[in-house]
Amino acid sequence: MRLISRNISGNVLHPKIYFPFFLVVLMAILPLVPQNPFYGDIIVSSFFYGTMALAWNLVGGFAGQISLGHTAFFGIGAYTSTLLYLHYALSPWVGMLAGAGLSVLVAIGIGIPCFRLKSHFFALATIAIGEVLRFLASYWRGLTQGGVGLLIPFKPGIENLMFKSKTPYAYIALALMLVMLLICYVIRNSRFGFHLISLREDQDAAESLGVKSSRSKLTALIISVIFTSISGTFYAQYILFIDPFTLFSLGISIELALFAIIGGLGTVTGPILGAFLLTPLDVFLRAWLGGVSAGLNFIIYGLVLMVAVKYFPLGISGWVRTWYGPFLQKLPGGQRAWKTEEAMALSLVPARASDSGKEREKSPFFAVKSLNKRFGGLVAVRDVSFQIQKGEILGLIGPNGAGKTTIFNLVTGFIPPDSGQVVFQGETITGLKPPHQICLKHIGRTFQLVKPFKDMTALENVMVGAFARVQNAQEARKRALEILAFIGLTKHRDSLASSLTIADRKRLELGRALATQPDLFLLDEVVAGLNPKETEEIISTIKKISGQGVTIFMIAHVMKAVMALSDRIIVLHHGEKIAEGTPLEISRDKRVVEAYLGEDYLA
Amino acid sequence: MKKRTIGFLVAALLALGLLVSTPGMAAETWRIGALFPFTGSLALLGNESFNGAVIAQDMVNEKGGIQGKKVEWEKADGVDPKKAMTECERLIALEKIKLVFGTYSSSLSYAASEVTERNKVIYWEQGAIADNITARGFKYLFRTIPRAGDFGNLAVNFANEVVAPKLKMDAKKMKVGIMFEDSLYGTTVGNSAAKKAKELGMDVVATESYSHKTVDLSSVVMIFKAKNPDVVIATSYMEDAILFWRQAKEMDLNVKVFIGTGAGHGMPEWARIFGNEANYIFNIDPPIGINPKVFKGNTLAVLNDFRERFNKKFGHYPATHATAGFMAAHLLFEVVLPKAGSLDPEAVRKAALEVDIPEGGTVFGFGVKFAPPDNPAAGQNLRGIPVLMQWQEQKLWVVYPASFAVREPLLPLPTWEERAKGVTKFIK
Amino acid sequence: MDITVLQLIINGLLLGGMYALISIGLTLIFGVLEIINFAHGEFLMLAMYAAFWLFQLYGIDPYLSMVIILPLFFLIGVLVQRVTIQPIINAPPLNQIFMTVGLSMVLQNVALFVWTADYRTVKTTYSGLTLKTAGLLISFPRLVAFLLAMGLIAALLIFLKKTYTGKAIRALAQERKAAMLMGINVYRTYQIAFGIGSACVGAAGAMLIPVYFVFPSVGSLFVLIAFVVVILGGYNSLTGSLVGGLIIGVVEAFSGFFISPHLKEAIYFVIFILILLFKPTGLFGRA
Repeated sequence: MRLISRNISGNVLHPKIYFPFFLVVLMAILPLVPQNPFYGDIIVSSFFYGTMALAWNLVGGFAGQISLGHTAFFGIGAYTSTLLYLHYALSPWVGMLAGAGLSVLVAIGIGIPCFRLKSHFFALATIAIGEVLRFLASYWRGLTQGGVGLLIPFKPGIENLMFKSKTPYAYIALALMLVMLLICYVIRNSRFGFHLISLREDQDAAESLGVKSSRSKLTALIISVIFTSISGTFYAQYILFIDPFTLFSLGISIELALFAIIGGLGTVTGPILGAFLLTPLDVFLRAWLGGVSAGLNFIIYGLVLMVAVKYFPLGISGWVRTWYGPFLQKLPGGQRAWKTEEAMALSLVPARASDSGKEREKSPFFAVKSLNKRFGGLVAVRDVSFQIQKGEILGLIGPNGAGKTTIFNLVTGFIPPDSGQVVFQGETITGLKPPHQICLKHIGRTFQLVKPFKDMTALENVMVGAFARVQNAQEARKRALEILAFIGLTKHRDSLASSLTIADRKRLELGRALATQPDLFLLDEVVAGLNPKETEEIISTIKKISGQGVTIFMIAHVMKAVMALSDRIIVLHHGEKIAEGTPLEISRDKRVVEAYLGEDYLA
Repeated sequence: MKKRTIGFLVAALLALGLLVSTPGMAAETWRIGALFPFTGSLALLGNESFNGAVIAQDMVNEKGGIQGKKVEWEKADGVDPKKAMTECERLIALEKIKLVFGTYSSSLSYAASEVTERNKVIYWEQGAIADNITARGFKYLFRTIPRAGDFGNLAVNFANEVVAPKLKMDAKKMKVGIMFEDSLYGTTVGNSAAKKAKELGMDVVATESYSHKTVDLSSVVMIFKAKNPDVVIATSYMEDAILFWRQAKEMDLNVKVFIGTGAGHGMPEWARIFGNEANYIFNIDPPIGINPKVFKGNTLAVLNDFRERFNKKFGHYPATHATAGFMAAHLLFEVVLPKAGSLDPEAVRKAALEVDIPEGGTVFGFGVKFAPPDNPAAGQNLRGIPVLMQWQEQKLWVVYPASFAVREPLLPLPTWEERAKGVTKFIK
Repeated sequence: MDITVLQLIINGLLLGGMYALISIGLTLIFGVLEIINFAHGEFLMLAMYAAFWLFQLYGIDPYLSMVIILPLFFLIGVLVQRVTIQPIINAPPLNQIFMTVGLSMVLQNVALFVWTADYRTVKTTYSGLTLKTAGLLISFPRLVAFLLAMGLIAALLIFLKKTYTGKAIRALAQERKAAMLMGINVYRTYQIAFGIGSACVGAAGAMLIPVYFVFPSVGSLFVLIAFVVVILGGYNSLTGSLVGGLIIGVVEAFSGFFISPHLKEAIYFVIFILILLFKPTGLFGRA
């Protein structure tokens, strides 16, 4: 599921470019090959399912929202265009747009509320939606003829999207698939694609980097739904008979997910591989075994699925990846240099604090006034007020359970305060929701338990942050490389985040948030869990960041780091601020000593 | 380098070729496609229907086949309309089948026959009843059994001509309740019954459709209890037929006449599960168990032979669906194919259109005359009629129309209380 | 109150009791392992076949057969958990879902292969028995199913509260990592939870066979209902699955009568969607 950020200006004669074109040409020739409609049908079906699987993958694979109700849009598309055709003689070419439009409306109506749900629940909700639509289609006989179904009279002609031979159908299906494929490819290497995948990996982290989760998921859903709906129209014009049970069938929804999983979830070509393998396989299994004994083919199908889920979670695509690179290298031209920007000198241009250039009011830079929060009977934060001066490093310490992380979450919009105000650069941002708004205001944060995007490389992780400020993928890449250099992770730039050590992950998280160019940087326990050497390294990195003019507000309870870094320190205990001052003053404050070490240690 | 790439491509092509190659088939047989739902939710009756045809095959092969060549099936499993169409494509394109025999389910038949018609391949429908199957002006499609419309009409006609007078009610004041499952089968019969009833001016108090996947039919029972119809016409598959009757008993729903229309109410299971409580329900189906006097020539002997063979091979006597499969296959093997001389579709359709069997000439007791292509019901056996039967003594007996009947219809239905006491109060 | 309305309430409660019975096992599994078991319906199907064959071959009454079925299905549950679920316990939700989808496909078609598509049911002396009181009609087998559902839930609640294993299961359901740190053998507890859940489904199957009938694809009819009930009730609350089942049953009975028998299932799917949107923890569930 790795993204491979490409430099598009590469060499055209390199197999990376021409081999895929070669494959496309092969596919274009394919419909002309078979002499009989049976194979023609398999080809049409493969392309057709390829499109739908790609469309499903946009939501299920890229964005990580498992929809098991995509059949709803398939059915809406088919019924809309068919009814318009039968009653108003509207060409299916126009009808498919009407169907897509209706599907989009339904998707927006459903998507917005449903996206809040966790994955299992989202899947269940989508199943229910498909079922409800099936009941409606079967009940509403006046409109759909119910279980009797709708028959489309066979009147071949391009204006009717109906042909005597399979070949034109195959080409239309292929064209549709290629368009969908292109869209998926472009998305994957774009800011939108990075956003989607970061949402899938860790929604909280993504939001903190400015990713608008609802908007992104909805956009993915809309694109997905349009193509699924158009496929429905195509199906109607191909089969010429539609009924509620075939069209709104849970089986279809499951099949689409199946193709994507077996092919390779979240990859661009995976769903196509899945569709191309499984569609003919299903036909042949049924032909060989279905006649022999009832159900034997499904038993095999089910076993294949179970084995694939366990042993090949990356799907066919994962397997292909292992030999694709070396394979390409063996093709003519494969040895040539590919990425010209390898030679590019990495200028150590440090991350600027802010490009915004707007003059903000001088006082106060950041202020918290009388913040309160309780969870049930527990008062987590009680009447806390403090200010942070521009350019300083403010440390927040206190024993475990003092409420430090809660303060962070209150300030960054992850939980709303019961009362109190948060003002940043003259603007009240109390309880600003959703969290991505905070990022847009140039506040960045890290998390106590690091949240790397595991299936992305270090470079890609930082790119997500960079995308908060730039739209263009090239530009984002450049900035990300600069940041990686700044925090010292260049050598790991192409390593998966899941393979990094804790110390490197912490640094990665710093760099990722840094890429959003925060004016105020909130660090949550960034030093915890590091050995002395790693602690030293991170302290120096933080000093570097501060040196760039970034204001830092950090939670820590490793005294060494706090003392070394902070200009001022606030001490929290049982949710209340009990002391504020320079490190020296704090270390001598009786209340602080008592809170940390207990009464017995009072000098 | 280059060698490896080429080697890879060759291997891929070989693999493709292997997949594609079909085993060579013996040349001297009549290869006929058998498209049925062999698996899935329709499997029970799909297999039953096919099994009837298998007996016809046994019978003809024992005689040495047709013109010395044996009959062979090429089975195809059509689970849903799309897959049925794909399977049809496979039969035609790969297996070179010229005649597809099937399919029991109306929606499968409907979709698959589109494929055969386009390819000018014969579709021989033995058991699907939706009217629109033969309403398309197809030249290569032939259906041997009556249509859904005939079922619905018969139910209403019986209510009008027999029930009303016997109950001494004005037909127009008779309250009719109609229930049907929501697939093609139920909807077509239910709609035709409702239409006919309204045409005759009857008081249709309830028209309830329900999802055939439902696990509870108490709502329909309760609605009928509230609306209190005299006659209920029901179109159900097995599970809903049984479910409804069980719940009707549980909730003490009593109607005077209950008419099932095929599928669920005509299966042997009905009696097996309900025992004596199965009795006195009417069911409409293609004619089996009819008055033997209807049969002409050796038809009765053929029927008896079929029944015994079926019981021997499959462990129970054939009911409607198996008989439908047999009748259609038997007609094909004994009459049409010998006349056609080959499986060439043109010859077969010519032979089919020439068939002219009077009443009494098939195991169903009705005759055969296929509507010609210019007829709005092209391909339909116009002589196919359903009959009304009644469960008595846990067996089905034909009670209407009179010429086919072996017994008198007994009505009204005893109430559940009366049943428990073994009391019946039939009107003479 | 109108006698029809009263009867509808009775019908709804009895139906709901059946629904609750089917869902108890799923609540346990979903609540503890957080896996949507799509093969749940097939477990029910297998249980019904088991009860059927025990009756058919050995004349054992379905109610009595529970003595055999409960431990049998406990073992089956443990086995299935070890072989298919445990290997993917940490996999992404999509993989988990599809493992159970594949399992459901396999089980359904093995049943088809072995037992054919014939419908089987059991006719006992009490199969059609109806109790009549005050003009209301109550189906005896359904009443038994209803009572059993309540009894089973009560027994489970006691088990979860009082025994060590029960507490371990609850701990695991609430906070996996903490439970591990407390020395709870996570994997063994998962197996036990799955086993108990399966045993509950086994009981449901035995209860269902006098009332309904079994065929290979009967599971797919019930599995979605079970999910609706579990979500409505609260996916980690046993009491919730009882109340949820009853509510769904009553809603179905009323909407079937007053709106249409055709739409009654759609209505509770809509309720399902609304619950997911507005209160995903269900009526009784904890966040």
